[in-house]
Amino acid sequence: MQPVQLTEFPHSPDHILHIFHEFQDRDSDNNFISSSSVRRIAEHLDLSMSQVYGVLSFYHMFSYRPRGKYVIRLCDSLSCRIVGSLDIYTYLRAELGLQRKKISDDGLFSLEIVNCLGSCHTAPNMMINEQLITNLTLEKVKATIHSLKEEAKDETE
Amino acid sequence: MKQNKVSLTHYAMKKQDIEAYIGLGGYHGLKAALDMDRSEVVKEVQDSKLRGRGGAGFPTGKKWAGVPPSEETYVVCNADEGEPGTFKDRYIMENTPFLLLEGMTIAGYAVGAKKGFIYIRGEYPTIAETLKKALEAARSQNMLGNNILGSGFSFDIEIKRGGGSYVVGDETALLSSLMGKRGFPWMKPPYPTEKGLWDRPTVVNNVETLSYVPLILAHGAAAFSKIGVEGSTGPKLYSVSGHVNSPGVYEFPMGVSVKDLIEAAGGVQGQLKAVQIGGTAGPIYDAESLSMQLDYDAMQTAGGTLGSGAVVVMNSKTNMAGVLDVSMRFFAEESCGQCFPCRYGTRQLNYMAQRIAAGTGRQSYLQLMQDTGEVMQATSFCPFGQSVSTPLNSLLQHFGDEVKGFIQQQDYVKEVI
Amino acid sequence: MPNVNIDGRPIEVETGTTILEAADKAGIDIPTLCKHEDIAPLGTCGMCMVEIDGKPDYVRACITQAQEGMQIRTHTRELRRIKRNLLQLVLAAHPDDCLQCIRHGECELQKLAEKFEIRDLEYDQYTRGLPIDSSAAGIVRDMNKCIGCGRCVEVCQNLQTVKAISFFGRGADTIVSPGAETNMGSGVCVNCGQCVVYCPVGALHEREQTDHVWEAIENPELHVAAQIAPAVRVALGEEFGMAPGELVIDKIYHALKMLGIDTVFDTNFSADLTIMEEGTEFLNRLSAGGPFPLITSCSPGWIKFGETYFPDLIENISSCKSPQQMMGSLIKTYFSETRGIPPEKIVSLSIMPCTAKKFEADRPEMNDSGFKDVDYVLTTRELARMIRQAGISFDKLDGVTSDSLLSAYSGAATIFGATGGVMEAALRTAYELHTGKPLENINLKAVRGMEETKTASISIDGEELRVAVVHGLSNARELLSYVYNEQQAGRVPYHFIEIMACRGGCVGGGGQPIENSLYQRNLRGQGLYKEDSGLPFRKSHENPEVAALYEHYLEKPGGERSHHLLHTHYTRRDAYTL
Repeated sequence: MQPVQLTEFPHSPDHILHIFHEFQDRDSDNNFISSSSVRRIAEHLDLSMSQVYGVLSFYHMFSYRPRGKYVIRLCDSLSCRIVGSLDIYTYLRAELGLQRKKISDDGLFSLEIVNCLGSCHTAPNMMINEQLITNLTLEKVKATIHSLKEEAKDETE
Repeated sequence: MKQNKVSLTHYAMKKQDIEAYIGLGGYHGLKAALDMDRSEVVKEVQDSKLRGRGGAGFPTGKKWAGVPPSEETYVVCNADEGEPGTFKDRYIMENTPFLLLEGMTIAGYAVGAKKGFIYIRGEYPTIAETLKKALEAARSQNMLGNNILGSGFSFDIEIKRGGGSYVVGDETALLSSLMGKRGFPWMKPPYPTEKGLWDRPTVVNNVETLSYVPLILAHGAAAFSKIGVEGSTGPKLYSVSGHVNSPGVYEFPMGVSVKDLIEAAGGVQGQLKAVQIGGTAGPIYDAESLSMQLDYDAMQTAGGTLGSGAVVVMNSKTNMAGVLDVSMRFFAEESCGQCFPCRYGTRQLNYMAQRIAAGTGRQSYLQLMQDTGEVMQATSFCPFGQSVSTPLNSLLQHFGDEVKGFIQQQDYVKEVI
Repeated sequence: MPNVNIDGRPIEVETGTTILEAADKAGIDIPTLCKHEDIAPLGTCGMCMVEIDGKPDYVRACITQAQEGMQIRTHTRELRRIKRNLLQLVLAAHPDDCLQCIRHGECELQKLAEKFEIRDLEYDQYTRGLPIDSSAAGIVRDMNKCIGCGRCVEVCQNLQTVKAISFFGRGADTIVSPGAETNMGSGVCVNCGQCVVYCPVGALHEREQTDHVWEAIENPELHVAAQIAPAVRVALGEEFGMAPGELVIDKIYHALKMLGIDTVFDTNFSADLTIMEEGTEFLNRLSAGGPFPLITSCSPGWIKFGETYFPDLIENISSCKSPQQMMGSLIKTYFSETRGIPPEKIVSLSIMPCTAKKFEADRPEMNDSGFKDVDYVLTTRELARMIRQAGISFDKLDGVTSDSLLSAYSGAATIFGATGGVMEAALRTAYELHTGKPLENINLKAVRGMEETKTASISIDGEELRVAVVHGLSNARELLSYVYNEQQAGRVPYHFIEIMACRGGCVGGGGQPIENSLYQRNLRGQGLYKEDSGLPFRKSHENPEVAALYEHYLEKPGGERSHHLLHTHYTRRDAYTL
């Protein structure tokens, strides 16, 4: 977690999406943009709170609610669907206990269905935070989740 | 294919090395352009008959020629590649980024811009980093920045990341987003070339389109236009995915047949059932599409559109009601919500398709969906809503019996998300 | 001057006229849901599509300009079918509770559904299932009914620049919101209600207090005393088929009495009182050489705006309460004592053109009487509903007079309801009190009218007095930014500024009858000036009841009791609060 220095950015609103990414990726353990961050952004860009939330809520990569440390974005557009994205989705939901929750109990994972990630030749695909993971099989997904859980355990130890 | 230098794949490299790029012939186009008048550069692109590769197919030279002289003009590269089935721009940016940068710089010179933006979708973060490094390399070689190659022409490029929205791939929605707003399209006219970013003349071009520009300037319009077919010149990167043995990006002269393209991609896995051409707003054809030619005019004559050149192949195991569901869900999730027909229409279409696929649909849905698509075509504010009827009608036309079967038999029970 | 043909009718129009405007001129009504004559076209609804010969696609009449030779058709068989289908799409996403809805009978969606004979919905119906936001004092936000036209966002962001609400979310989930799942009441919303009067449906409406008022009236133990704002008397008639600008004050008094209200006073009285207090305040500043400008304080929407966005100018705002609040505190003291009615038994009611007045009445400091100075505020619309419910044929009433003590008023008071009215009233008195001579021309035309910023210069005892009048908060923002910058540079561009939150002044308030276009507001304003010109006395200092109040109770303007009851203070507010 590194606090975002807003002074890095000019005061013009056209930097808002970049700023959102910075707050969400660098300044948050939970892949979201808090209301106090929104306030800092509004002050810096001379926008109202309603305007900043208006932009934030339009773009689906951003969240104003906390999510897991790892946001899994699983593609379910046509090319991925016809090669088995639904099976991966079903598996992940069950494995991470996300049938009725937004964040897994260990706080590590959130799961979102997204539209085309632009790598259809390696379908099925998912992103975990910034990383694209391709050619998914249930085994590969299982192994990826496992190694992330191990990594998280190491970090806390 | 690789011997032909008027080819993007010729410049593909695993690692981004500007010196290797220059060794392959890179930046010849820029040098040639800087030796010409701006208007000559525009004319060269016009003569090549290059058409926009993002989906609309608008003649690039014509777009550039329409830019009025101004103190502040912008070139924007549309790298928001969100069209399902399309991944050619990813290919270009990952493997031949310097072609893109060179093309943008030439575009800047031609229209009198000093500043360019690459608007890249938020889901391509590592590619954004790659591009940043490429920009640094270009600046270090004086191919970008102040006084490029001593010509007196200065041009620089800034990367702008998106936040996850398909509709900002539309020209004016992209400009809204670039200025930090919600991605709503604007009314046209005025067109962006007249009043774009911050009301200044702005040229918006797709990644692939810009990447051909250096080749046109380096080898000449004639070399470019003799590739492909009349009305759709030059090579094209086709994105092939779905049930084929070797999905990927394939470079062919414009006008390759669907059959040849699928063969190049390793052939169908199993038996061919359906093909969607042009992206998610393209028609869904049955096996008759094999003989179709993949260029703008031929596809239009066939009642469809080449679009981004995406070809998604579906075999006989594909559940077409599921395809309808996925299709309509995409539109509902990506609708910007500005205009009534699209915000309400896409949601109703989504509900109906979802229920059909889940086995709880009604017979009346089929006609109702088509009527809704028609209303959206007539009254939507932008091409997004206007185009929903295309995949909808074609799917129902070719696979209507199967979809009806879902409603009648209600034996498809799978948890629909 | 292009000539076009619409549905077979030829018409010539000015260059730049849209097809929608041209059709209106030709007497043809093209349906719209998102277009309003006061707002630039948004192009969101798609109901105005028309067919033009030679063009393959339909176009939006609201944004397409009429061009020479165009052959336009507004309702072909195809277009009619498409529009009916589009309406069904909207209706299928809209709650089915017209009968309980506050806009029943006045709703643009309802009118279109009726016009297009929508008898059944082929689509499955759904609603958003969102909680209703009643947190703001003056306004209720029900996003289940929002159709997404975008008028309110345009008004709040650009016409008023309060920026309290924006579109939120994407696609069919899009609503209008102050933030992520936050409510308007705790945000920067100033309750001006301009969003309410432009909303085509019941998604934004006034917070009703009629229930409380019925209860009070029907309680024999309580004494209800009402006051009526100037802007109401030229607008309430519209709710009963009368013309905008028609003076119906005597009918209002009559209707209030018939409803069972015990005492009927007039806010115009306290408008005169405000002039006495504010005039004195101004003249004091004039002698002291500042601080300038002095800014009027009767518009509570403006006050909250000023507290939020220009807190450094708070010392420039007049400490005078608004006429509503002055009257409220006098009702529970002066009136109570004079008539011997215990203040805890008095219910102080005000009838206002304004939703922000509900906020003002609820401000925690507004209890100088020892009780809540104004208990309930009813908008013009709410009063109209009560009158109808009581079976009163308003337009047929003979009219009565109000009750004396706090009712007499001058022409200067009544023009408070129009933009420029407060300024003109103040100058009529301030000039005469200071110089001992009346103004050469009592009608200060320079500060009248719908122009967004009006300035004037008056010579008062050899000194040049510069005044400015703005209406609409975007104009207030512009003017105050200028004033603030000049102040930093040590200059004083204006000595006295009148600010009204709503365009047109209070006649365009958030509580006025829904047909609230600028055109309508202008007609109402003119009705007030007409009343002014016909009244026996036209200056606040000539008001005998005001004189009596000072003599028997307050002693003098700016005196101790005046300060206690008639003056207030303001609070710096956070512009980023949610």
